[in-house]
Amino acid sequence: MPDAAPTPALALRGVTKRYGPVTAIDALDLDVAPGEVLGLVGPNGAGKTTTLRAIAGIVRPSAGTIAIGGIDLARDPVGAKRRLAFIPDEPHLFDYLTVREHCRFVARLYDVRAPEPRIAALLAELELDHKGDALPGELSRGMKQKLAVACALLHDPALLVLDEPLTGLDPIAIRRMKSLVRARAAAGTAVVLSSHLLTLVEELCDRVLLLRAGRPVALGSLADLATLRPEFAGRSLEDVFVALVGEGARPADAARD
Amino acid sequence: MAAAPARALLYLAATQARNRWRWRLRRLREPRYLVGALGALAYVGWIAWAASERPDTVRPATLTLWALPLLVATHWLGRPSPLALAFAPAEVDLLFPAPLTRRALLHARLLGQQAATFAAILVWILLLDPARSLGTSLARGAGVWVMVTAVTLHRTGAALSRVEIDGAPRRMPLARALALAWLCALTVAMLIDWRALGALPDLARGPLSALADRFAQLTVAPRVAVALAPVRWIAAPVLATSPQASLAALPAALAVLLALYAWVVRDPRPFEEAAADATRRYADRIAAARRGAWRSATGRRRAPTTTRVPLPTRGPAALAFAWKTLVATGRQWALRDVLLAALAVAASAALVPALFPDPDLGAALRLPLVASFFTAAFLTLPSWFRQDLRAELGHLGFLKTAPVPLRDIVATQTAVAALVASTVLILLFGVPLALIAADDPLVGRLETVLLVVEALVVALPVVVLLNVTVHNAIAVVFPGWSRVGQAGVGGLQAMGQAYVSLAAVLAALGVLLALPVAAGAALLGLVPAPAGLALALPLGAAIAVGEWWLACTWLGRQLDRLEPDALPGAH
Repeated sequence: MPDAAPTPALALRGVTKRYGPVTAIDALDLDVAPGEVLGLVGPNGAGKTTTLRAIAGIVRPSAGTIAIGGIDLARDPVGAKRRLAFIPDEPHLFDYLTVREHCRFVARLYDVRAPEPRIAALLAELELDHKGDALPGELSRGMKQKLAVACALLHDPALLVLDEPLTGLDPIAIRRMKSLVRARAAAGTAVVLSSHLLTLVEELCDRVLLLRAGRPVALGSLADLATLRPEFAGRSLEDVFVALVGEGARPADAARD
Repeated sequence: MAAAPARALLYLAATQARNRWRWRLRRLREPRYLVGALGALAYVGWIAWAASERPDTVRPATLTLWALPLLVATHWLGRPSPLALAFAPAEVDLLFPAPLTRRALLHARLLGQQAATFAAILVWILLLDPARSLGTSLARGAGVWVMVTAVTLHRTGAALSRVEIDGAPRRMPLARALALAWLCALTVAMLIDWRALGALPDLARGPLSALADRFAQLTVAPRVAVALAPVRWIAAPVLATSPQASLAALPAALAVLLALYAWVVRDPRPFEEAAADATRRYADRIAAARRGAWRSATGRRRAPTTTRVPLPTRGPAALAFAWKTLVATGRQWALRDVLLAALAVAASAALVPALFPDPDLGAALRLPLVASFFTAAFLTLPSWFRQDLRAELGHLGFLKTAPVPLRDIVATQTAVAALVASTVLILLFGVPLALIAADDPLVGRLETVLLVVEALVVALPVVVLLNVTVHNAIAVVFPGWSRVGQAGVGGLQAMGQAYVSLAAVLAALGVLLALPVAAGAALLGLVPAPAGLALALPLGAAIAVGEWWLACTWLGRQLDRLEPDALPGAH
């Protein structure tokens, strides 16, 4: 008897999102395996953030299904969201909860058992332990981002969704964020991240999904993308991106790809 | 709701409330907040004292009973307000992707609203209703809580029922159909009972009083009384005349409240996307209001992005700032709205005499009415209209690196803002003031009208210019007191800051106007009115413009010293 295929950490089937006459995502199919890092790239307005917000349950697809760890987000949103963590590009925090209280609140929300040691370890790992009693108004942009990350990792999510995770971070924090994503992926967490920093995507991601006008233009590893056209061989993701979705891209290319 | 999320949401509400009070008390160590708190306490104390001195008048039962159906109508017939479904942005980011049911999300929102409701009721009981006994205040407080919560629940329920999915309008939900049917029934009952009641009572006291009496009669008229029953149940604890009657009315009010609650938290349709959108729109509106962008703040359709005012390719660089401010003003302030408001002011000034049986009394009241409107508009316009230097403080780096002397930027921004504000004031009050002046028998009609025109065209813009400059000076010299783009600093202290700022503006304006007024008065001593008055106004205006120019030079230097970190909201 053949082995059953492992349940993908994230599965999108025919996901479409329409805003009146505008189609933000058009029939998107996607599987992300546990431990895989998928990069979502595309020009502004390609549908990256809408896709991530749909996965996070903030935006409801007009058609199609989203399953997280095999659990349908529409049918069992609570069960699906228990396996998910979402970090938006601009983290909004509660004005009157301190750093540590944010962690405690999220731990209760996700019913994390014995959360205090875990909170302490995460704050230390993210170098926020000395700011435990600070309110968000006293934190820098980067520190707020770190706090959002700490909140997201508290419940050991099976799927980590990051929208522009490096915005506002300094070089040290960027390096730490990259190691963190790698470490989580190595531990089996699936990661979906969107970024305009193509070098980051190239460095971190196992596969890349190129979106344009809500439609997938290409999906695969950089090696896979190199097979799309002979001239892509040995080229960077930036070159491939510009060729496929940049100014020089012909609509026929996208349709064919 | 499951135990873990319920505990988490309670923890969130309790911890936030505790930290908010701690933080507000802690910031009293800063003098500006301490002064603000003292100013607010003085103001509230004065209000409380005035309330205790006031005789115990009849409560506005009629107003309450008719206001509630009007609110129901706005919830179902008006454009859905983003406030109805808006969460805090942090709630969208942290609660929406969390393993919470929709019902739990709704409870989180209702819990958040309760904190504000309780705070408002507490202030009301302690400060505005102090003359009554504790029992009366508590009973009334409970009644107010039921009524406010019922209105909030109704607004939320109506918004949830009207949530559009994928931008597609929804077929009329049952609740909306029921609400509209009730409103129609109430209207029909009103028409029938109005007719049955006959002519307006006691018309001799004036048409407004007669109308108020008629609406009071209507609330107990047979058909309207039946139609208003649900509203009366909700309002009865507030309108009761004794604590015992208030408590006796509570069960029926609570029953209606519970029914509303059950309706709201029933298995709701997917509202997350609409709520996230409402949250963003509401946050945008608040931010727009803080920077004086009123078209955006009121959620109006964006103005056309083309402009009929071309920017000259040559000329002083400061002209570019003037052009930018004029274009921004045109996109945020619609001339049509100003003209409509002007029409309303002119109409009320013209109608006031007609409302009184004694025409002389009516005519006498017209001037105080227009003068109070004018004073309120003059004082508050710089707080509403912020397309001046304050709008640019967020781009301080750009201002400082622009190849334009900072004095010129200050002068341009304040002058353009004053020009716009003066135009608005003239449009609003020019006609009523001219009408009143024409009725003045003291000086003679033509001379008085000409003087009013001169005052509006010469003196008013200069006084407005000084007013705008003082407001901008406070934003530059005491940035912590300016509320431009400031977030998260609400509360009693911020309210007090606003009052203390207003007092400071009036004092500074008084100082600045002292010399021009003194010079004008001296001239009047030499040349009698009306010729003296006609000459005194330009003289005073010229001196005031000189003061303004000196103020711009000084403010330019202050602006140069100002650092972005000192601005509110900078972390």
